Amino acid sequence: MKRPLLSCVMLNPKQVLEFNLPQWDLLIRQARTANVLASLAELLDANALEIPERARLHLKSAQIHADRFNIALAFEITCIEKALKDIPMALVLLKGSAYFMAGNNAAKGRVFSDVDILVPEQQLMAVEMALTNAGWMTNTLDPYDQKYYRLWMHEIPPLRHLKRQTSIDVHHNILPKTTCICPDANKLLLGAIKVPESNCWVLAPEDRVLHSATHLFHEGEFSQGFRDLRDLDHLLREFATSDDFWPKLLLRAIELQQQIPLFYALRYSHQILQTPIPESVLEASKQRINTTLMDALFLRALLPDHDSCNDKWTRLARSLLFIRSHYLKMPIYLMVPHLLRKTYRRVIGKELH
Amino acid sequence: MTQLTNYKATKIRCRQWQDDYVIYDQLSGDTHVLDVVSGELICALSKQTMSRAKLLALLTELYVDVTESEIESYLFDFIEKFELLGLLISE
Amino acid sequence: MSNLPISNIASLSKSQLQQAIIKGLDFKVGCFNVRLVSPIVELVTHLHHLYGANELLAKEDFIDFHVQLSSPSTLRRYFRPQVNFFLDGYAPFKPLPYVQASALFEWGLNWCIASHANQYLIIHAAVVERNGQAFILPGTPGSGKSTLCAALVNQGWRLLSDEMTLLSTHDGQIYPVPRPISLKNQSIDVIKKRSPQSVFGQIVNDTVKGTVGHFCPPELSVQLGENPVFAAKLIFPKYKQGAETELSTLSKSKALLRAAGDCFNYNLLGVQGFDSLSGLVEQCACYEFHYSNLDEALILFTELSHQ
Repeated sequence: MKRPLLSCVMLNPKQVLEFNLPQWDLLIRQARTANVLASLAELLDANALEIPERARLHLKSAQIHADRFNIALAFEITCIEKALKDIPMALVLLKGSAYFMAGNNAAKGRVFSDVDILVPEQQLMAVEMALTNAGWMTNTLDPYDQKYYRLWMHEIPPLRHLKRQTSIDVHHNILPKTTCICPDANKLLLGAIKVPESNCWVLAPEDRVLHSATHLFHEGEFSQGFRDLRDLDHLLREFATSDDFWPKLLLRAIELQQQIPLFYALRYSHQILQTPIPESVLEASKQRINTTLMDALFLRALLPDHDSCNDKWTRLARSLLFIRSHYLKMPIYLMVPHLLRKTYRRVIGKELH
Repeated sequence: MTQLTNYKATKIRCRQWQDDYVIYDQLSGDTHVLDVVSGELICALSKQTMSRAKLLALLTELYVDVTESEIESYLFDFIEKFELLGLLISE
Repeated sequence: MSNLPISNIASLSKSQLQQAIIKGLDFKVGCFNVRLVSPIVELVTHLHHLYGANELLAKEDFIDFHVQLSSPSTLRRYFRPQVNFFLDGYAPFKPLPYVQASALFEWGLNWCIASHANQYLIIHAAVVERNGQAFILPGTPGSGKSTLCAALVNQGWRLLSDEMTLLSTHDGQIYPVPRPISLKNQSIDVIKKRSPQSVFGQIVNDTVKGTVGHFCPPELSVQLGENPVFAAKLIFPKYKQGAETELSTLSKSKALLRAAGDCFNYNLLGVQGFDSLSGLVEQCACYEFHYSNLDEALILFTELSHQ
């Protein structure tokens, strides 16, 4: 499949110096669809490249969005810290909020809508109560949705703050309970490291990578797939500067039983975004998987969901991965009725997740 | 609130027109309209940390024909209100 | 046919326009470049009547908004057909009844600008100009700003926009986006009666906003579509039946707070939004305006434009 213009530019930003206006137009559109427009803006700024005026305005517009979200995120995290300060546990941030607090490159130009935190399962009720007292409320009153989240998934239903309308997702694991291979959340919490000059904690670097990989390769909807892959690419490039990172990552994947998501993460980050990964690591991460089939699916679904990046098989690939994700999350006796219910609710406009 | 407490405003932007101050809270994104006395106080606090004594002195300059206990009472309410709004922090 | 240069929409015949829109018609809308792709015949009529003065893009250019309107190809197209609006393949709204295609095009374009043009602080306000002074008229539905805007424009005021005031955060000027003026319900009859020469597009009933119609902006306003101007007056109109014509000064702090509430992206722009809006209320005379008599309103506005 042809490499999208956006991927080419991310690998070699100076290419844009040769671009005509229609190419700039397409680049902006692919980046916007993939939700990486602000990130692209940061990349072009960092390379001090000249940009035509119209394109520059679109990039700037996206950067304004991202900047505002960063300020709002910082404020939101302080509000969450305040709300949970009396609970005897470390406040462990996940995903985007973690990258932001830890100052990872993955956070630059990124817009994070929700805050995700990881708490010990035994503290769930206390956390939910403390957040509710501080003004967060559950959106979900439907008993089925409540059951979906609490009993089967790895989180309580998303909470939304009444005044600020911001959301927080409280996880007690990084994968659903119903998944065949669910990692031991305590191991993740024990490995967490404190962010200097803050009351927040983040997962260890290899755990941050594994969480990102696990999340992406159990995912059903890939509209943000390219962006999430780029997060992985950023994390791997940044952490690889530590000598012991690769061996730690491989060992940890075995310990948390996430070898398959790691294999996919390394394979597709390397193939699509040319993440520099030692050949020995790629070899060591290999699993007994039908790569012909999975390549056909992921090498399509992980590109921006834009007409210029899709081919005639892309829709099918995305649909198959959607079914796959539910099959991974829940056994078939739960999956079939769940998918039927989801389809019905989508048709009547009440779908939540 | 002890005699040794110091106060400062969080990151804000101030604009003044005649008897009104408009304050933008850069952290929360909230915009507030304040009377001239509160506005003067909060803008002064955005430039420097001030002790309670300094705040009382500033209030005495701004508020004429007012007793000492009324000024103390005003400062108490001001601190309470602006801490609640998140515009003021004590150290 | 008017004496417009060859490069405007009016220079195309209706069938040429239809062919162009099916493949993709590239044209200017104020400071934005728009591409419209659609098989819908009613849109051809809409553009032919209301966008004649808009310049076609001469060569391959950067398009700001790739807009598509089409009917979903489901069984619904046989009964109660619908129309969808897409920006580059993304649908921000639910589909609407097919007959509302032209209204959906206008609302969709509003959304495109409001969501993707953060180089401006965007106020939900009409903005018109006379004697080099821009008058900004913020207003919630029912304030009468659209009727007032339409009446002013018909009296010769330049239209910058009837819906969105674009205040540049870079140079503090108002940038035009002159488009068909949107009117609702009784306002349509009021303006038709006052200015029978106004060219209206399709009148669409039963929309979420009631009966909606658009009329053609003055040719000169469209031609000046890339000429910004500084604002001089910020006037909050309030129409009330039987009310006396009354203009009262509004304090700058109150004007700022009210205008902030009328912005699409004030919160998003953060401190830059605050600075831009502060600058605007500083440079403008700010008023509240109550009226019921359009003629008196027009006289007063004309007087104000000389001050």
